[in-house]
Amino acid sequence: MAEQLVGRRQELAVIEAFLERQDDGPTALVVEGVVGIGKTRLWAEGVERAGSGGFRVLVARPVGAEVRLSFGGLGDLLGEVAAETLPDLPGRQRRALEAALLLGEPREPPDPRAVGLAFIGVVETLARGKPVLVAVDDLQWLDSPSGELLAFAMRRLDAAAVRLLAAVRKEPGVGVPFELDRALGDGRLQRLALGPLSLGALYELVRTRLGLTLNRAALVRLHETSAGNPLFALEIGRELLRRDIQPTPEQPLPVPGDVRALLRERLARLPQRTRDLLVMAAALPRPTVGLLEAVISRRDQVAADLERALQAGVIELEADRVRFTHPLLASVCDGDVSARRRRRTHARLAQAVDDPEARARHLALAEEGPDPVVARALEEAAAHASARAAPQAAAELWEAAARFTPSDRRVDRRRYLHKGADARHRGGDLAGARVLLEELASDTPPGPQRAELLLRLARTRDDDLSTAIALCEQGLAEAGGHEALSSRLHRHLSLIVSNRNGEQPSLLHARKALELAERVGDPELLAPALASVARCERMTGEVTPGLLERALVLEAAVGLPNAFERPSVLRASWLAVQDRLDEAREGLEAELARAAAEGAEIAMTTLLDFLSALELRAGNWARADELAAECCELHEQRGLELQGSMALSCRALVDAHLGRVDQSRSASEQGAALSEAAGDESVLLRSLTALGFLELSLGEFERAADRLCEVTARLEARGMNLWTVTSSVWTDAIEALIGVGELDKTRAMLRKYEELARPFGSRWPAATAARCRGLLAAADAELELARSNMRSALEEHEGRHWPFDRGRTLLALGSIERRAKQKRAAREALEGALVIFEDLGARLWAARARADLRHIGGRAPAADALTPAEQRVAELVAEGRTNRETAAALMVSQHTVDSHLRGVYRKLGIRSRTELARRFAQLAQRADGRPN
Amino acid sequence: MPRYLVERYVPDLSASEISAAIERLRGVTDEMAAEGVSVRHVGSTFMPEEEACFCEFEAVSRDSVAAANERAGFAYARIVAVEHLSR
Repeated sequence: MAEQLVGRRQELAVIEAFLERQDDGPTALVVEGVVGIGKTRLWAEGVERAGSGGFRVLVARPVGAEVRLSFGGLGDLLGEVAAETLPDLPGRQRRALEAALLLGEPREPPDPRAVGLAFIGVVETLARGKPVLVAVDDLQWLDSPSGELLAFAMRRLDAAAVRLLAAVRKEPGVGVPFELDRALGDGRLQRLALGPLSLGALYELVRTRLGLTLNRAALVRLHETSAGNPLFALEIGRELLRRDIQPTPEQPLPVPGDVRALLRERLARLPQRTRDLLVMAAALPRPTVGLLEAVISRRDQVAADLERALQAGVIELEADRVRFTHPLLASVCDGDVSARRRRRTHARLAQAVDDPEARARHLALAEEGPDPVVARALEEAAAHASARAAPQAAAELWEAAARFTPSDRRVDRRRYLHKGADARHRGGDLAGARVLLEELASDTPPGPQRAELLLRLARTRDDDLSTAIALCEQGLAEAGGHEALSSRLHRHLSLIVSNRNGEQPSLLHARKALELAERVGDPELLAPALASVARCERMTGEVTPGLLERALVLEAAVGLPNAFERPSVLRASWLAVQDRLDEAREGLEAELARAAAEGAEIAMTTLLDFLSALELRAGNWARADELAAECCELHEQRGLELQGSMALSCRALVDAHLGRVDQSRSASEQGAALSEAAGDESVLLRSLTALGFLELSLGEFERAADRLCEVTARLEARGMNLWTVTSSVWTDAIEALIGVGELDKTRAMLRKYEELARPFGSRWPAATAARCRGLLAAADAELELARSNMRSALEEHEGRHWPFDRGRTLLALGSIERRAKQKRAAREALEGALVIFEDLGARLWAARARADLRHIGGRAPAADALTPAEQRVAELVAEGRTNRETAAALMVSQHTVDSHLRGVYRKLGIRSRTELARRFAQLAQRADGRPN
Repeated sequence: MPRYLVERYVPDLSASEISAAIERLRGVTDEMAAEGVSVRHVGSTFMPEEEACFCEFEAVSRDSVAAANERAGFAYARIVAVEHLSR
C-alpha cells in the first residue's frame, strides 16, 4: 500500500500506545468499522510501524471468497518463519503443524490441539528474540481452523511478548470473531472503532489521491453524502472527475447514493472479458496469475485483462497474487452475476485448482442438487481436512457430502453423517455432534447399530446425566448379544452413574463391563474395563489384589486415549491414600505433564484438583493455592461445565484453608449451583464439604454440623468410602457435632468413620480419629483420657508430615490442658499450634489459637514482649537445637525460624545463641524462685 | 487595507503543531514587512472537529498572502477576500 495515511492521528496514537505497552502476556487491538471506512489502511500503517519498531510481524489477509481453505490463515502467518522454527518443535507437534500446513504426509491424523501447541511453540520461539505482532486484516474472513487456533493460542501464551492487531468489519449484534475477547480475558483486548473522516481529512484524501481540489461548499456536500466514508468519497470524487463536474450549491451531487452502485459503474466501464476474469478472481480464495491462466488458458489474454484491471485501480499485484484493491469490489463482481453464471464459474475453477478441499467446495458450489461425483469429492476433501487436524472444516465437508448424496444412497449418506458427528465431537462441538447423531438415531431401527449411536449420544451429554443414563440403558436393551458394545455401554454407565447414584451401582456396571471384555478378549477393550473396576473398587475400599497391576500392564501395551481413565493416574493418587505423599506427588506431576503435552484439559483439571488436595495435606499451601488457580483458569478458558464445578470446589477448599472467607463461600455456592444443574452429586458434595469446613473454621459449629452431616450421610448412602481418607469431611463433621454438644451422634459417627476407613490402610484416619476421641472425652469431662488420646494422635504424626492436622491436634490438646489447669502445658501446645498455623497461612485457625492463648491469662504482654511463635522458637534454640532441628520440631520452614529468631534477638537485645541460652536460664531460675 | 481568509485542512497536525506553524507564519510576515511587503497576520481560528483552520490576514494583495504562507511552508486550500460587516 503505497498511499499515505490521511488523518487518523488519534487512532494512530492508540496504535502506537498499544505497540508500546509493557504487558506480561498477550494483548490485542481490534480496529472495527463499516465497509470502506479505512480499517485496512490504518491496520497496514500499524503493521508498518511495528515492523520498523523492532517487532517480528506475522501477517494474514484473508478474503471473502465463499471457499475458505482450512488453515489458509495459518499458512499465511507462518509461511516465512516455518523453515526456521519448525525444526525446534517436539516431534509430535512438528508433524501436526506440517500436516496442517500441507508440508508433508501425516502418519496419523494430527490432533488439533497439537497444532495449537505447535503454533504456540513457534510464537514463543520467535518472541524470545523480538516482540511478535500477529496481524490479521479482515479477521471476520479468517478460516475457522485458523481463527480457533488463534484463540487457543491467545489463551495460553502467558508471558510471551505477543500482540494481535486485527481489522474487523463491524456487524451489528456480532461480537469479536472467535471470541478472542473471551480468550484473552479482562482488559487485554482493546477495541478501536473507526468513525467518519473529518472534513479536513476528506479534503486531503481526495486531493492527494485523485488530484481533486474542492471548494468548501462542495467539500461539505461530499462529506455529507459520503458520511465521511473514504471509499465512498473517493468513488464520488472519481465520478466527479470523470464527468468533469464542479458541483454547485444548488444541485445535489450527481452520483448514486450507494457506494456499491458507484463501484458497479466503475467495473461496468471495463471490457466484458476483463470483467469475466475479475468474476473468476472474486470466486477464488487465493487468486494468482498462474491459477487464472490455468482456468482461462490464454496467457496473453489474461495478461492484458489484468493490466486493464490494474490501470483501473480495481486490483493490485503482490508477486503472483492478485488482490482486489477493496473487498467491496470483489463482492460487487461476485454479487452481480446470475446464479447460473456463478455455478459455471465454480465448475471451471474446480477443474483448475489442485487442493482437494478447494476443488470439492467449488464443485459443491457448481451443483444445485444431489450429485454422487460431488459427494465423493467432498468425502475426499473431508478426509483431507481431517488429516490436517481441521475437524470443524472436516465436519462441514462431511455434512455437505451427505447433502449431495442422492436419496437412494442411504448407506453412503449415513456414513457421511457418522463421520461428521465424529469430527464435530473431536472439535469440541458437542451440540453439533448431538444434532447429527440424533438424526442418525431416528433413522435407524432398534438394534446394535442404534445402540452404538445411543452410546455416542450419551457421550455428548455431560451437561445432563439423567438423559445420558437413559440413553445408555436403552442402548443396552438394544445391543442384544453384542458383547463388546455392551461392555462399552456398561463402562460408560459406570462412569456417569457414580456421579448420580453412588459407588455400588457404579462398581456393578464396571464389573459387568469387565466380564464382557474378558469374554471378547480384546486388549483395547480390556484395558479401560480393568481401569474402571480398579477405580470403582478404590472408592469403596474393596480392592481386588493384582487388578490394578494388570490394568497398568495393558495400559503400557495398548495405550489409553482418555487421560483421566488411565490406571497410571489411579496408581499415583492411590499412593497418596497410602500416605506416600512424595511419591504420589511425583506420579501425579508426571501425569499432569503428559496430559498437558496432549492438551487433554479435562484430565488436567482432575489432576490439578488431586494435587491441590495433596498439597493441603502436606502443608504446602502456597502451592495448593497455585494449583487451584491453574485449575480454575483452565475451566475459565474452556467453559467446561462439569469440570468447572470441580475447579470451583477446589478453589473453595483452598480459600477456606487460607481464611479467605468471602471468596471461599462464593466459590462453594457457584460450584454447588453448577453441579446441581448438571445433576452431578459427587461434585456438589465437594462444594458442600468446603462450605462446612469454612463454617467450622469460623467456629460456627451448628451450621458446620448441619452441612457436614448432610454430606457424610450422602457419602455413606453412596458408598463413597474413599472420602474417609482423602477428605477431612468426617472428622470435621465430628468436631462440629462435639461443638454443638451432640455427643451420642458423635460417638456413632466416630465408630462409623473408623469402620469405613479401615480397608484403606492409611494411618491418617487413625491420627484424626484419635483427636476426635480426645475431644469427645474432653466433652465428657474425662480430661486424663482426653490427654491420652491426644498424645496417641501426636504419636501417629511422628515421622509423617501432616502439619495442619498436627496443628489442629495441638490446638485441641491446648484447650484440654487449659481446662486441666496445666497452664504451661497448655501454652506450649497452643504456641506449637500457632506456629504451624501461621506458617501455613491458616488465618482463621491461627486466630483461634491466639484467642485460646489469651484465655490462659496472666499479664497483658508488653509491647516488646516476644510473640508466642517467637517464644516457642526461642525456647527450642535456647535448649541447644539448631535452626534446622527447630524447624523440624515445629513443622515449619527454616525460613520462618530464621525470621522469628531475628525478632527474638532484636527484642531481647541480644546477639547470640549463647546469650539467649543464658537469658532463658535466668528466667527459669526466677520462675522457680531460685536466686540469680 | 484588504483582508483575506486563508482556508486550510490540517488532518495530520496537532493543535500545538498548528500553533507553531502560525508562529512561523508571523515571523515570516515580520520579515516581509521589513522587506517592504505589507502583510499582517490578524488572527486564526481552528475547528478541531473538521480538522480545518482559517487564518485572517491584512495585506496589500492576495499574492502577498500566498507568498507569506508558501514561504512559511504552511499549505493551504484557498485564499478568499473577506469583508467585515459592521454590527
